[in-house]
Amino acid sequence: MFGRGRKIAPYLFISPFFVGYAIFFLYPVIQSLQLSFYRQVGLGKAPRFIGFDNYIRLVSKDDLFIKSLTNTTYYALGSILIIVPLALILALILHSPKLRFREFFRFLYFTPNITAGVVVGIIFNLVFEEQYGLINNLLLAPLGVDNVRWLREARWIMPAIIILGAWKWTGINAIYFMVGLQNIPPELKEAARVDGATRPQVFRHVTLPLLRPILAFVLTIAIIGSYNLFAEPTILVGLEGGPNNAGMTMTMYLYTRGFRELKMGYASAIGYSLAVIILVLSLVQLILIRAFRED
Amino acid sequence: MTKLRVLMILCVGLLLFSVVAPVAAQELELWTFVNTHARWFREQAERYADEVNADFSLNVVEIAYADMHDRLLISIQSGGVGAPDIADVEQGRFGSFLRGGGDPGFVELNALLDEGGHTENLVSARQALYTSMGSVYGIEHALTPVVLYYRADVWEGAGFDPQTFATWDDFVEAARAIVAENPDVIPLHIHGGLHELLLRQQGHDYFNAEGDVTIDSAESIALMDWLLALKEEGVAGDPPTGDALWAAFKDGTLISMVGADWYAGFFKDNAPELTGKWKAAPLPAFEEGGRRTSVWGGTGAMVVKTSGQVEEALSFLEFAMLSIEGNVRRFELTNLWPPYIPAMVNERLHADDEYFSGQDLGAVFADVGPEAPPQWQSPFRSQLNSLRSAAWQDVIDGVRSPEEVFTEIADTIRDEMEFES
Repeated sequence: MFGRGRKIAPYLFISPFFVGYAIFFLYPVIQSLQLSFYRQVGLGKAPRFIGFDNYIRLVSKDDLFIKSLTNTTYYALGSILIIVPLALILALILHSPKLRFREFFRFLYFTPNITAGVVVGIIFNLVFEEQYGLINNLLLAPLGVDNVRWLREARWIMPAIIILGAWKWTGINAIYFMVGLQNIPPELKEAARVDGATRPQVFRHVTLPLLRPILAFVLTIAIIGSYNLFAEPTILVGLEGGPNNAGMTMTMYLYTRGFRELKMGYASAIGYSLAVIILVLSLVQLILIRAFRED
Repeated sequence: MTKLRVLMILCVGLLLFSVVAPVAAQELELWTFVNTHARWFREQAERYADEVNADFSLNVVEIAYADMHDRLLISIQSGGVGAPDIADVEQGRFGSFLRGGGDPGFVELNALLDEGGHTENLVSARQALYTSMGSVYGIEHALTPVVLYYRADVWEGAGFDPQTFATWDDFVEAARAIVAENPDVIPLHIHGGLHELLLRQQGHDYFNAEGDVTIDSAESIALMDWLLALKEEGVAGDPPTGDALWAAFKDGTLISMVGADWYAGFFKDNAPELTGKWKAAPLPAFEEGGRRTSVWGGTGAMVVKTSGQVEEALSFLEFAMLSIEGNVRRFELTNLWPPYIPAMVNERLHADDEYFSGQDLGAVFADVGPEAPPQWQSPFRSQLNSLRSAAWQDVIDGVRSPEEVFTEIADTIRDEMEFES
């Protein structure tokens, strides 16, 4: 009796995590996969099996799904091509031993990350405001640029969201890069310099390759984060994504279909499509930067 | 051993407290998205506690419009977890509770309304918004008659009296003269609801009585074309939204507002510094002798089915919403014109209103109220509103024609109706 109890005890101790995981993660994951093959609309209606109809409708007939996919990809590209390089540049600057008040800057770049999304949204609504806003009045007006209708004209909405994204994410990504930079042994760079490599050459052939694990991490996080983007655009332009749904991301689309129109089956299909897209993109990205290569 | 005993006593005590505590005082929770409603509900709850049930208390929770409806829908979907006892549901969002044709999750009010003799006391066109297949789920807060609010100092200062505008042509003619003097002023503000409410003034709507979508009707397209033409010549404009909208009212850019009764309360809450500068007039008609009003918005109070205190909730709603005193107090606090017929003739509805230049605001609503057009509910109204608001800026900016956009929206809705049938 005692012996058996001892064997069970360790499992009991670690069970809370697995019980929680099963109830709050595994069950919904499986349930929603099943639901994605059903039509369930509204309150109090039993789901009806419709096979792949939801998925077929998504890709063949649903313009808004395609639009939200395009919008999200737009942001993801902005995130990868603008925010990540910016973060790397910032990290290189902050890593420089000549910089004074380094700790202060590090703290400063981290603050956007710990600011609540709602507060950020409200502040940026004022920043992007057409007539009274900060960007139009303080940055663009002195350059002689006419007022940009950031949140009211479809083509400016995504750039606005990317600007917000840059403000919010550049700092934390720079900190990741800085950790990577600190882990590069200075001897390697010194050796390269002794061998006559120029600074750009050292960066290209020593620093960058050694940063690859961090780069893989930052890019993966950026892709996942981009395709899960929800709070910022929702607060800036509303759940429908503003004019022309230009700010509607896939998770916002999922939310409106699922929780506003109560089409749970359809929303599940969107969720699974999103999961597949993120998985494929992350793998492609990891292969591209050769993260799996054994060095 | 003593430690264990103390712990056990504590546990039992906690358990007892959690079971007994909610029963002791009868507290109900109510969700609303309008602060004017919240103010009135709180006052009515005190009155109810004084006069009917001393144990009664009402926790009025204010949640932003979209959030409140989303959360309510989700909590009902999940069997009432975290749901309130009573909720304000806006007519534009009630459709999403009816989607799919299942049970919307609210208590059917037919028995309360019929047995209490209230049905004939309520304006049926308003109640229709909260009725599905014969079941009534909500009690309307306001008749929502639409009037023309205007800056009396500006219009009268320019030599015009909007009270005398019989038709929209009169309005436009005067507006042209004002704009000629001051090009920065926007006499007609094309807000998100203007097209819809003017369409109803003409006797049409986005859905008809049969539930068919009609946003792409010839009348709807022609009306939008007319508004865009007014914008083109500078008489109408597309001002900012949110806080910036109130800034535009305050700095005198916007000098009128085609709005429902509830907008009067919004003015007082958001632009108190304009006290004494506004007045209200019946809407100009589209043709001589035509209808001088419309309806816009409206919210029904509903009892959530999963509430453990349905009886008390119904009793409170009857006390507050189906009584002359409750309806009159609501007008006094929020300017919502009662949809409850016995209250409409109450003299307290006709007090001079300081904000509206000492005008008898109630007289304007009472004057146009009987002409209020009907509005038809549809499970697809909420989705139509979403589609329309997304395309709105393109239509306003002239990027896409009203015909193209409205036809596209109507086709999408028809396709959805077919997919779900």
